[in-house]
Amino acid sequence: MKGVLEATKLSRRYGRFWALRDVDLELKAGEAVALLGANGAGKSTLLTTLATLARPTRGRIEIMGHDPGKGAARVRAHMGYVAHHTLLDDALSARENLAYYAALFGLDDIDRRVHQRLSEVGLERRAEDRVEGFSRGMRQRLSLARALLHDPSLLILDEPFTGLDAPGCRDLADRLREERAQGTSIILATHQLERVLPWCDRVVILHRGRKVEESPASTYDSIGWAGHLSEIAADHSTPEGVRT
Amino acid sequence: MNTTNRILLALSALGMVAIFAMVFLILPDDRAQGFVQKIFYLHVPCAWVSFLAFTVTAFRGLRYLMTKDLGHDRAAAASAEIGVLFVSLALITGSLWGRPIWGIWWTWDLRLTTTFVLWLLYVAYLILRRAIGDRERRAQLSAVTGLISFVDVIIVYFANRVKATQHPAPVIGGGEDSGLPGLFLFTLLLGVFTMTVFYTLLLRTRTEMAAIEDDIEDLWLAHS
Amino acid sequence: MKAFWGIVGAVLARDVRAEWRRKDIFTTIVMFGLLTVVVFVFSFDPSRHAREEVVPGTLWTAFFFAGILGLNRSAARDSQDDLVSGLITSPADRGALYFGKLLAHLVFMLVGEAVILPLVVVWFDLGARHLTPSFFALLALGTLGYLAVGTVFAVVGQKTRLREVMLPVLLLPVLTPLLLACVEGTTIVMTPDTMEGFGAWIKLLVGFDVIFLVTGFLLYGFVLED
Repeated sequence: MKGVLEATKLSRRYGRFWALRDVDLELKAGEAVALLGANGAGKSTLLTTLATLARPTRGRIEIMGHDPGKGAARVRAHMGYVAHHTLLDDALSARENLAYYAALFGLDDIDRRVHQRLSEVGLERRAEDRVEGFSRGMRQRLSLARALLHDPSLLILDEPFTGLDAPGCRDLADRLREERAQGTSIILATHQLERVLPWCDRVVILHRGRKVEESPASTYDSIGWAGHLSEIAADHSTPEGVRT
Repeated sequence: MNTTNRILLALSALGMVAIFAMVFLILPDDRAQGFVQKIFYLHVPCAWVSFLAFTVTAFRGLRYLMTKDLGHDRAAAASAEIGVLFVSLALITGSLWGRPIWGIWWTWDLRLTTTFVLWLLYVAYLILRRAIGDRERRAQLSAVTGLISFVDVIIVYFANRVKATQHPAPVIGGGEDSGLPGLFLFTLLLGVFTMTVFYTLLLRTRTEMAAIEDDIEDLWLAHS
Repeated sequence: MKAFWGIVGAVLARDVRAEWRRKDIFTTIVMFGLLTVVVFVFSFDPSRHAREEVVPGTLWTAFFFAGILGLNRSAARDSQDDLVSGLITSPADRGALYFGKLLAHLVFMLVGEAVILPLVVVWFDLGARHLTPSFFALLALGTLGYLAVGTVFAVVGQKTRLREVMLPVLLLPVLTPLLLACVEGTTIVMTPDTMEGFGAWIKLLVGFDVIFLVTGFLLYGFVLED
């Protein structure tokens, strides 16, 4: 199967701090991978680097066979990104926000696409309302609709469940599961592994910027994973464990 | 210190001694302006080096944008630091010269204004560098700023040319009777040469130092 | 080509629409511009100075400083919900994004100037003799050149530790030739019975605008993605 994403020895330094060190990662078409790790483990850095928002300090990335350092536009046209922030303009309505992004992506048939994505996330009746009146859950759904507008082959999500209530999380997880079923590759960072375990292929655990574990999702159970994560953190905080 | 730097150091030291010998011992005083005119042999080389330094900053910035090689950024930054030093010297020596000749320390004429704006632009460039912590981001944004500043200096020059000027007309190629007698021209060219060599030495040393600073930071990071 | 202008239009439309609803950039520009004019009116009593002495400096200082606050406001708004990341992760041509932003800023500035200018006309008693097509040409070219550079540096400023303070530090030195041309040109317009030397300043402004429009177009991408 063809690789959607291939990262080799990826490192990123911010000022005087290595946020990411020598991470290898591979994603095949249609796969879903969950990134796990404590705050500051490097999950966001890995995702922003993959999303072409930050250049790697060292290492290589290849997405859909392209090097983002050379042909970034081609990579971006195939990639959807859901960040901490919504990337939405508060003063614009749901529909206006999506139409704006559709134009930035140079899409045709904008009205139909926007309408379709809005109804998929259950926001068609709020289409003309400004985003400033939306709840966190509605914003997150709209943000997902934005990321899916151009039918990306790769979806990158940075803690999409943060701030959502239980039904909100369930709805979002169902939406992602459907996308995955339609063949979209997904990589997401989360603190709520139980939401994604049922449909993820692999789990990658980061600790202090390094990849410390990568296993099939089936090896984790939806209750015991949190304890496992603490064990990893304890193992690697010994001086030998972090020494380069 | 490597061989090239030794040679550059020796050349600039010899050149400086030679200039001072010419100025104090050999050249006669200027008929109209007297001894004070001889600051010219320091003033013009400093001004020349400051423009050269900022051209190098812009060029290395452009190279950084093309290659993303941080070595270019270090050289661009070093050149800007040295440039600020020389442009300050040019402004001070010019002021010292202007006071007895024009009767004023400062006037807003063509070359003075251009030089002062040059100083402002590159001080802003250095402030920008200090305000960004991340190495790659600093390199990229500084490169853009260096390029814009460089383009701007050229426009500033033309803008001021539209206004009248009271600065002495160019002594070389400025008109029929503007040529310098051989010995004077020799001293001027010697000054320009010496200062350029000295600039090259400073640039090389400062760039090497910046590379070492980065290496130290990397080592410190690798073991933290 | 059609795709290029589609992106320019989308960026322009979003900025203008959001501003129409928020009005924060407009308020910033107008309030600060007016306050600057008032400070000048109190500092130099208009009844005791000739127009050509006070009007050019007052007008352009007000526009320049008001513009800095407006540009900062615009850039800060884009980093608020990280709309900048939305621009970066899109495949849109960087030059198109630059022109979109530039045109939006142009709309904000021209609207602000349209409010500030009538008050300057009243307070300094300007007449039809002063508000000639030459004067408006100066205004348009000056504002365009100002924003051609300002649109780039506004993004740079937001990415530094100094944030809002960085923009004037970077922008004002670069604008010296533009300021010179605008002030000198306006002085000629305000001086009775002569337009001598005006053409040279217009030429300089056109040169400045063209050079920095091209520079901004080429460099905006490097500023956006660092």
